[in-house]
This record gives sequence, C-alpha cells and structure tokens, in this order.
Amino acid sequence: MDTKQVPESLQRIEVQIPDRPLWRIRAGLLWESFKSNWKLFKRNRVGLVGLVVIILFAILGLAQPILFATGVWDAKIYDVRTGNDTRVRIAEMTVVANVDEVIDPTSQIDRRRLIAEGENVQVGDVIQRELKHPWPPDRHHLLGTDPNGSDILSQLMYGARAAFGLGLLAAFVTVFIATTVGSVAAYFGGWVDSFFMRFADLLLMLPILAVLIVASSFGRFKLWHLAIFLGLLGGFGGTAIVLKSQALSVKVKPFIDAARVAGGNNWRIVTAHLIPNVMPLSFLYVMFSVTGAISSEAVLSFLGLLNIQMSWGLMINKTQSAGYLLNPATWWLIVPAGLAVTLLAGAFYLAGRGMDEIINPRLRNR
Amino acid sequence: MRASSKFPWRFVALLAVLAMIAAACGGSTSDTTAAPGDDVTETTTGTDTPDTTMTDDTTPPSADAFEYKIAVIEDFTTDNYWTYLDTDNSVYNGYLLGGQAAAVYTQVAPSFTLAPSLAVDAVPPIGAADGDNWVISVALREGPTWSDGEAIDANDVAFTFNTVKDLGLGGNWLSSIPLASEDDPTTTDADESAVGLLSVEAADDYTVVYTFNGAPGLPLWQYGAAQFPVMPEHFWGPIVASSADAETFEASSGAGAPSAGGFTFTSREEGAFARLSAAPYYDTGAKTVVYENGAVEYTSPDGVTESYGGTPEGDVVSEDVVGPYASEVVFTVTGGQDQAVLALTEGEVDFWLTPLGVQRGFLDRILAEPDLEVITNPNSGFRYLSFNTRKFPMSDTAFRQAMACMIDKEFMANNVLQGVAISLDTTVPPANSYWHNASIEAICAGLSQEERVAQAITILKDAGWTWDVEPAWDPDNLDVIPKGEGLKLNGEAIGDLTVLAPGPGYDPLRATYSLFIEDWAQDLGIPLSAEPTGFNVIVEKVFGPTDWDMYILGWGTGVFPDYVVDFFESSQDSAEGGFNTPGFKNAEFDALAAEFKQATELADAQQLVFQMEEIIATEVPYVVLFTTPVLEAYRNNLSFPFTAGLGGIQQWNGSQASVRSSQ
Amino acid sequence: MSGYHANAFTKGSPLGRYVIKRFVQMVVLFLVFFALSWIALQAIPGNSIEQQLRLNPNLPPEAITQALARRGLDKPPLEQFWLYTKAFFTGDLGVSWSRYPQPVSKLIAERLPRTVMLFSVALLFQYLIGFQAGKYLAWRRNKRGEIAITIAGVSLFTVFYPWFGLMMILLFAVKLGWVPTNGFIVEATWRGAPVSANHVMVIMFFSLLAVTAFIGLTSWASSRLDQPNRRRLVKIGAWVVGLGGFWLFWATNQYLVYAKDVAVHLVLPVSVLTMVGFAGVMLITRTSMLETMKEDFVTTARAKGLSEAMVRDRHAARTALLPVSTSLVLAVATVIDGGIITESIFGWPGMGQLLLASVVSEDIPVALAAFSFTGILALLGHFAADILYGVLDPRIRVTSQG
Repeated sequence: MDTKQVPESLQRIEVQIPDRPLWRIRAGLLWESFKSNWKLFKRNRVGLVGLVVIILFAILGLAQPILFATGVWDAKIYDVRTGNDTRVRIAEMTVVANVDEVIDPTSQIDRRRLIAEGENVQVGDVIQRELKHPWPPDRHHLLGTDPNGSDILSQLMYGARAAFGLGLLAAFVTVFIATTVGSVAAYFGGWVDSFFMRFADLLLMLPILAVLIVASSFGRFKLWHLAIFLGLLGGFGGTAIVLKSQALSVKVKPFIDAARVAGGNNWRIVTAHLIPNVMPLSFLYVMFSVTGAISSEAVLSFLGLLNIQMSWGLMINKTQSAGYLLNPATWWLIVPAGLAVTLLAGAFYLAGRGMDEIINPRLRNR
Repeated sequence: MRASSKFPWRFVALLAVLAMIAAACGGSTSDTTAAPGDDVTETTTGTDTPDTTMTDDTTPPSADAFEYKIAVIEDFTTDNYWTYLDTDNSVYNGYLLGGQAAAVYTQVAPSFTLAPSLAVDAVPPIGAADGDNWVISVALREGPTWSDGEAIDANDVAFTFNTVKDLGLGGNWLSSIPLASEDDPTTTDADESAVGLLSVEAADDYTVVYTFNGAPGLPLWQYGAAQFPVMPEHFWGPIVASSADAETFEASSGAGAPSAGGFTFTSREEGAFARLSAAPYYDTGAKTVVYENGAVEYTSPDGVTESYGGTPEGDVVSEDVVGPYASEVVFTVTGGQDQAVLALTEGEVDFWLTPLGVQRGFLDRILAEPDLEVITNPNSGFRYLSFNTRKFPMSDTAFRQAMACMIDKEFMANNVLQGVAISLDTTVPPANSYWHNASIEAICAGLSQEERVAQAITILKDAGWTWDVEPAWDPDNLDVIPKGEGLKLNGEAIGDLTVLAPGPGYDPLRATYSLFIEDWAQDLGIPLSAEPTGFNVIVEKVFGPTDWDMYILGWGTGVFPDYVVDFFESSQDSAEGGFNTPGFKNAEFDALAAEFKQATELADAQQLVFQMEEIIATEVPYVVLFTTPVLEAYRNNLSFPFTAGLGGIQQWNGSQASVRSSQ
Repeated sequence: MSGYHANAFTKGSPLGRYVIKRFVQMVVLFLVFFALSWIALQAIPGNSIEQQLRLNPNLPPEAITQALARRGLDKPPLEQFWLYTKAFFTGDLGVSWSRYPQPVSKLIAERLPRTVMLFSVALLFQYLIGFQAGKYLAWRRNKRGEIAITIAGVSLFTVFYPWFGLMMILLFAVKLGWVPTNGFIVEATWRGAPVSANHVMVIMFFSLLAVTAFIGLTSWASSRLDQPNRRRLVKIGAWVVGLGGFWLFWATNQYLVYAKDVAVHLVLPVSVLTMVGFAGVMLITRTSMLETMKEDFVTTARAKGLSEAMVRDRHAARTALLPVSTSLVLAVATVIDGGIITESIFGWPGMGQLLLASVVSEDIPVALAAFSFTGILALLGHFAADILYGVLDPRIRVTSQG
C-alpha cells in the first residue's frame, strides 16, 4: 500500500463534511444497505418465516394492554395474576358409579370423583354442581382458564411481552458488551486481549443452568435481573470470542491502517471504524441471544426457581405442579404456553439464520 | 486424494452396528440371546457383589403372599435408622425405615391414641420425685422379639438412650430423647437449664428406669421420652463399639438390621428402588380396633383383650389384624409426580406414597382407571399470614384484626383455590379433633365482602384510626370505590408495607393468596404490596431479624399441639432464636403456656390449648389461612385397615404391616 | 482467522511448548473458577441446611449447633474455604451436608456411570444423524427439502425441551407402551442381582466404545489402501469382526439380562435427546460444508468431472468433519449441565440431578465437586478442541455450548 496516498484521500473526505453532516451520510448508507439486505433476506424463506412469527407474537403482546384500556376486558376477570371469573356455572348432575358410564359430562358425574373431593353421595343422586376451573375454551375465554380461574389467553399475551422484554434486554446487553470487549481485545491485543479471553474461557466453563439456579436464589431475582445476568454471561463469554475474531479480521483491513497513519486516536479508531464494521455480526447475535434468553427463562420457571408473577415458563410450571401436564383433556393449559416458547425462540433463531446468509459472504448463493 | 475415506458408508454401517447393539441389548421380544444370561444370574457367586445389592432368598412364605409396590418421587438417602433420625431426616427415609424401631409407648393409627407397645401399663406411669430428680419406672412385657428372634428388653431401651447421649447424635434424636441441660455458668444472659432426661437404665431385663432432672409434663414424658424409638443392642452394639465417632457410626450400613415392625430392609439401588422383606413379627395376629371416640381395643396374638384411651364407643374407624401380609415392600423411585402417576395408572405400582398428596389435576387420569381408588383426608398443618407485632402498624391489634377481617378465606377456598385448599381458622385443625377448639370463629367469618369492608372500617375507627379519604363499598361496581387513603393512627401514617410470600413457582397457592391480600389491604388504604420471594430468603429475613412487615409461610405440625406454645410464647421470640416470629407478647398466653408444659393429664392440657387458641384468634399474631387436603390413590387390590384419618395413609408410612391383598 | 489459539501454532512454537503454556493457563483458570464457584455458592442468602434444622420446632438449639459444627459450618467462611480447598486438592472431596455423612466421592461414583452411559449413546446418535442431515442440506441448498428440514430441525432444536420430553413419554411410553415410562432399571429384573447397575453400565460403555473404535479405526485405515476391492473387503471384515465380537461378548455374558434392561430404558431418552440435539450438528455441518464448497479444491474436484456424491462425500464432507468433531468434543464438556433437565424428566439419577439437588439444597461440598467436575471437563474439552483444530472457528465453540 502506498502510504502517501492515504492522507490525501482522508483530506478529501474532510473537505466534504461541511456540505452534509456525517451522520446523514451514514444514515443514507445504512438505509441503502438495509434495502439491499432486505432484498437478500426476503429471498431466504427460512428467515422470513421467523420474522413473520416474531411479528405475530409482538402483536399478541401489544394487544393485551389495549384490551384492558378499552374496557373489552375487565381486569377483575382477566388480570393475569388475580383475575378470577366468578360467574358461577351450575349444572344439575346425576351421579353414576364410574367414569366410563359418563355419556354426557355436562349432566353426569362419577361418584368416585365426588368421593375424592370429599363429598359423600350415592349413585343415582342428582346434585347441583358448579363447573370447576380450569374451564375449557369458550367465547369469554378463548383459551380457557387455569385451575385458579384466570384467563389463559391473557396470561399468554402477558407472557409474550415478558419474553420480548427479557429476550431483547438480554440480547442487547450481550451484544453491547461483546462488541465492545471483542473490538477492544482485538485492537489492543496483548494483556487486554488475554484478560478478556481468559475471562470468556472462565464463563464458558460454568455449568450455565446450575449457575442460573444459584443466581435465582439470590433474594428478589426478577425477570430483568435475569435478563441482565444472561446478558453479562453471554456478553463476556462466548459471544465476545466470536465478535473478537470478527474484529480481528476487520483490524487488518486497510482503512484501519489508514486511520492509524492519519494519526487517529486509538479509542476513536475503535469506536468509529472497528465497532461499526463488527456491528452486522453483532446484530446477528442479538437474534441468537434472544433465543437463548427465552429458553433459559422457560427452563428456570419450569423448575419453579424464579420469583416472578407470570411468564410462559411459569404457566407450564403451574400446570405441572397442579398435575395437569400430561392430561390431554386439559390441553389448553399446556399447549399454548409450550408452543409459544418453542415458536418464538425458534423464530428468532430462524431469523438469525436468515441474516447469517446475508452477513456471512461465504454463505451467499453461488 | 488417495487417503480419502468413505464417510457415509462408515456412518451408515455404524448406525447398523448401533441398531444391532440396541437389538441385542434391548430387544425384549427376541429371546435368541436371552438364555445364557438368564442362567448365569443364579449361579454367579459373590465375587462381584457390590455393597448396594444383596442376594436374599430367606423371604418367609406367606398365606396370600403379594408384593406391596409403592412409588415414591424422592430417593432414599440412607439405610441406617440412626442416620435417618439424625441427619437424613426425610419423610422418604421414614417410609423405608420408620417401621423398624420398637417403642415403649406408641400412638395408634389412625386416631393417634396413646397406647403401650412394649410397656405393660395402659398409660405411662407418672413417676415420683427422688431428691431433685424425678424417676419413672416402666415395666415391659416379656415376649416381644426382634425379627431375628432376640427378645426386645430394657437393655435395648437403655442402649438406645446411651448411644444417643454418648455418641452425641443430634437431629430428631434430641427431640425424641430430650436430654437434660444445665445452666452454663460462663454465660450470664439466660438460664439455659431445661428439664430433660438424665439417664435411662435397665433395672432388670424388663424394667426401664427413666431419670429426669425435674418433673416432666406431657410434652416431655408421655409425648416425648416414653415414645422414643428403641434399637436392637445385639445388632448395633458391636457397630457402636467399633465406631470412633458419630460420623463413622452413621455412615455404616443398616442392611440386615433386625426389625420390630414386620419388615427388614434388604436392598437398595440408589436412584431406582429399595426393598423390604417380610420378617417374623411378634405382634402378628394381634387385632386392633379403633372407635370413633379414639378408644382402642387391642387383642394380643394370644387372645387377651385390653382397651386404651377410654371406653370404646361409636362406630369402628379401623379394624386391623396385624400381618405382615405382603412378602415384599418394593419402593420404586420415579422422576417426579407425573412419572409417579404414570406408574400408578400403568399398573407398575399399587400405591403412590407421598406426603403432599396427589394433585387435583391428576384426578381425571386416575379416575379413568376403574381399579384405582381415590381417598381424601385432612392434613395436619396450616399456611398462615404472620404480622411483625414489634413494628407499627402491625403492633396495633385493631390493625391486625381489620386485616384479618378483610381476608375472605371462604372466597379464596371456594372460588380461587377450588378444592385444593380448605379454609382454616385455628392452628389446630378440626381433623385433630381432640385438640381442636371448635368454638373458635375467625373474625368476620361468614360475612359478605361488603359486610367485611364495613366491619373492618368499624374496627379501625373504634381503635382511633382515621382516613383522609374513607373507603366505601360501591354497590354498583361491587367493589371498594373510593379506596381508602391516608390511613393514620393518632396522626401517625403508615409507610409502605410488604408481605413476603413464596413465588408462584414454589407454591402457587400462597403466591395467589398474597396478591389477593395485597388487594384487600389496599382497599382499606393500607399501602401493602406482595413480594414473591424465595423460601430461603423469607426464612432468612423473618427468623432472627425484626425489620420485616408481614410474610406468608406454612407449618407442617404433629398431632400433639405443643407447637402452639413454641409459636407464640414470649420466651420463644425469634429475635432470640425461637419460633415466635410475630414477636407476640401476651402475659395471659405465657401463663397458660407454662401451665401446659407442666400438665400431666390430657384433659387439662386440652383445656389449656383451647384457651391459648382463643387468645391467638382474638389477638391475631397469625392469620391462619388454609390447609390442604391429602388426596391419595391406590390400586383396589390393596385393602387397608382404614382409609380415613388425619394425614391419610401416608401418615402411617403406608400401613406396611397391615395392608392386605384383597384378591 | 481466529485469535489467540491460532497464534500459538502460527508463530511456529513447537506443540510441546504450546501444550505446557496451555496447561499452566488451565491450572490458573481452574483455581479462579474454583474460588469463584465457592464464593457464589456461599453467597446464596439463607443457609438452607441451617434453616432446615431451625424450622423444626422439636429440635432443641443444641441439636442445631451440634449439627452445624459436625459439618464444619461453625467456623468462619474463610477458614471453611481454606480447609475445604486444602482437602479438595489432596483428593478429599469431603462429606455431603444434606446427605451427611456420605462422602461426596461416593455420591459421584454412584452417579457418574449413569450420566456417561446415557449421554455417550445420545451424542453418538446426535452426531451421526446431524452430520448426515447437514450434508444433505448443504447439497440441496434452497430446495424445498432444505426449508422443511431446517424448520423442522430448528423447531426441535428450540422446542421447550421439558415439555417435549414429557409429551414423548406420553406418546411412546403411555399410549403405545413401547418403552418404560421412566427410570433406568426395573426392580423385578434386578432382584437379587449379583451385580450393581453401575457395574453393568461400565461394561456396556466400554464394549460399545471398543466396537465403535475398532470399526472406526479399521475403516479409516482401510481408506489408505489403494485397491477399491481390498478396501471394501477390509471394511466388511471390520464390521463382521466388530459386530460378531460384540454379539459374542454379550451372548455369553452373565449380565446380558441386566444390560438388556438398561438398554430398554435408554431407548426413549436417547431418541428424545437425538431429536432435539441433531439440528445443532446439522446446522454446523451445513455451514461449514457451504464454506468448504467455495474452496478451490472442491471446485477443482468438480471440474475434474467427479460425480456430485463423490465430491460431497470425499471432499467437502471430509473437511467439514473437522468443526463437527470439534463441537462434539465441546458438547461432551457440557453434558452434566445439560443433564439436569433430561435426567429429571426421564427419572435418570445421574450427575445432572445430583448437581441440581445440591445447588437447590446448598449442599456446598457436593455442588462444588460437581461444578469442579464440569469445569475440568470444559477445560479439557476446549483444550482438546484447540489441539484437534488449531484454527478453530469460534462460532463452533459457542454454538455447541447450548
């Protein structure tokens, strides 16, 4: 490379600055690259499927506060925590001896169940009985109610917001830290590099689930604590290593040398040149981190270790602890929540794969 | 590229290998390879025998020999009875080993009536003072033997006591065997001396002499030392002698230990199963009939009939001719409750033994099996809201009463926690019928929500509380509108209050309850918020420190209600290491508690508990919220001597020596 | 170009020096890890051992003091740490607090063979199927099959695993009754067994390992032979000898009936683990194959007119195998952590369950031993991966951590 030409070219840029502010040039470039990338992304149907699912869940999450605000849903009935449909449904039921003699479950009930509930009745008795929760889906409760009489759809919507909040917060913390750490480690090398990379190794050594269990036993461990914690683990751990290697490949590009020769301050080179060029890959890791965060929360809640009010994992946990998990007859307690975790985590992953095809030039179509 | 290899081929072939391996090891239908292995198992001798399994072919034949197959959801952690009662005191180890021990006096299932087991006298003798000490001499029956034929005698009782004392065993050994402790002269702050056992000696083979350092009441003697588990000296003596300390002793295996309960422990595969085998039982053939009033009629194997605990009256609750009938008790450890229900519905086990009971959600699937029986029984234990009475505003009785009034337990039990929770007003539940004070009614019991609001407002106003905005019931919206604001007592306002409750992942019932309590408190203008908190953290915050406001936890309790004293006596303040978390101080209660500890007659003790409960119900240091029923399911080829009683079948470790096969 | 791992090689330092340097780093890293783990466990609020004792109103205070003293909990934390560390590095893992007085080493010796058995078989299947599927995907880029397999694979990969596992139990164990619902052995089979389940599993593991290694090595060696016919002959011979030996070994083995019982119980957890795990391997294989296929030698091979299958299997796949095997090594390192959920669902009492129980009950000696075990596995895994693949693509390192 001819070093003499570099300062000239830099000077040319500086001359242009007064006409258009730098941020507008950047924004314009960004928009252009977004448009061309979007075209590429659209061609990848796998990524598109992911994106559509993400958008559907976002709508679901946003719909709940609107339903409450417009009064379509009464908080006394539809609140995810204390909502309780007290509209008592009473049916007249004939007692039969065994469950296999029940032909019409709305008018017949088996004696063994009543005995199990502590009521002493005889076969042939006609009793007044209220329909106990969980109620199957009907027009008031599109996905039925849980054993405490709260609305499942409402919980699912709340859970969607929780998942987005947790997932995105964790992902942005991860990527913010990982990008900074990766770029700094790559640019400065030496002991800075060694320190951060050894630290990353240390985090990769941890049994993650066990560490999360330890963390969740700390006092008032809320959902956002979990998000930050997952962010720190990922940000200083594996993601930092990936982004550092990306930063290394950027570091050897000519424009970095150019900036250095032009007398650029180290920090300015890192923030203005290195980091922006690592950003595309960072953005990709946002997607993968969301997947990881949603799954982690679901598993921790499933094990009953998080002290939070509502989430998809908790819906599954409550279903399991109340004994409805393997009961196909009460599918609405388990299928929506299980499917939601799977779909949203999968959607972010698929969208990430789609982006990977754009960002990773070696994966582009021949 | 000569060195290239055929990866796909290799992998396809590897798959084939694995398939064949799977077929060879796993094809349960292919018996081509089964024969050699099957033969060898019986001829193999013990060179490879690891310590976890044992070959045992000495099972005595039984008339209707069957296997009592039980599912449990947690693993057993020891096979040594001593360790079980000390450091590994889990209910599961109890299910496995609990039947091994003998006892001088015991409580009869399902009524908990105090009855002699090894002792001759129907009721424990009271004893007499001997100088500063108190000496009780108990005569033992001649006849009872351990499963290996050795006599159970006074030396075994003394040996058990001495082992606990000399080796310094801890845990529940010390609650079964209350050792005397003396005031430590080096400390000045408190008198640590406590009444307890100084010695247990065998005066002769069939006379045990208990020496206390003071007169013992019911909690220490009849419901304490008289019932401690007795271990066989001829088996454990040599092990004790060769053990340097408690740690070595408790690490030793209890496999093969003789038993006094009809079954001996034979083998255990960690994480998979454990097995008990029927063994000669001195009480086989004895008939025990329990009546509605708690009286017990006992006919010994040789036909002598005696009765304990009053004159038999009313219906028969339980009729039991002692077995054992099962040749084996086989415990299968399953991964969790879902798996236990699967094992039950699939017929792999006959009974699921669980202290928590079967969750209501499993009912559908259990009832779909016609040969499964489901029973429900009350549990002894309760969940409660506790106030920190050391701190304003919880220190004000009217405040606590108003809170208690707002909490609509019937609504919670009937509408929210349908069928999984039973509303409760006293720390001694109704099912513990002898000790339950039926005349107690909770504050505002039976009132509608509207009436509760009005009543709570009245209680607060009468005590001098004022509002900036007084709460009022709005009949149109069926809600409190406006909610109270600026609640003050003599001008003193309330700061933000927190109720700590387990999170929904730990206990959905209490978590849900705390949210409703938050709502009701806010209706009155009490700035209370529910905070889901880990169980460990709640315990850490409320046992000892005094800066909390309210919390919700639960107690599992025994039948003998000495816990009422522990929970509310002022000397038991949790700030000083006791169990009185509310910091409740009531002179009248303390006097009753002191009297209770000295009582030697059941009837006196009962009256004292009734009075203590009344004070608790009016002063509300706790708001007792609810209890949960124990639901149990078993295959109908089993026949139990009783299916109704406090705690259900699990309370008695599954009635191992009495369960029969009804086929 | 990857970072620091590569440097060691590219600088031309001899492998020996690199190994020593890494070893020293590993020891230091482990010490830090050990101390941090202890601090984290110690810092959990509320000592659950003490609480359990304190919450029993029947226990007199002296019983509590005594129980704590016997576990060494009466000493100040720093002293506890020092005593524990000293014992740990002299090979004494101490005594469990929650299962006092059982030695930690005994608990681990009981659990480890079970985890090894389950996950070795599961990983074998995951990698075999994942690799084949990945190869197929890379070759059928942007065809209809690719999208279907990718979405199905990713759905299984991100499925809420505990739920999925239980649904599979419901289907295969309950509805169809093909396999046992849970556990790892059946009591009836093992009654009076002359051998422990762990012993049988150890034999099973090593016999499987021996056969796999024998067939693998012989086939690999055979590929160096020139004549295709001979190559085929040696390969077939390897299979016959390997399988025959395996069959003979077990057919005459006195423990066959027990091994069968364990194998039957393995079927469902291994299948479920394979279903949820193969997609990860598949995607790694696909990515690295796609990258490889842009390389010159593949283009050359194509230009030479070799059949597509030949190019795929001989050239592209062979190179792609490297990152896949690296990720396998790393996956081994996370087996215990990953075992927590699997073992709970299938009632498989292995290290994962031990780790979970010890952390929840704050049984620090057991938890720390389990942590150390996973830490050492992870260190060795990363070390082996680096040796195996000097210029390791860091993405593999990370994606295989799931």
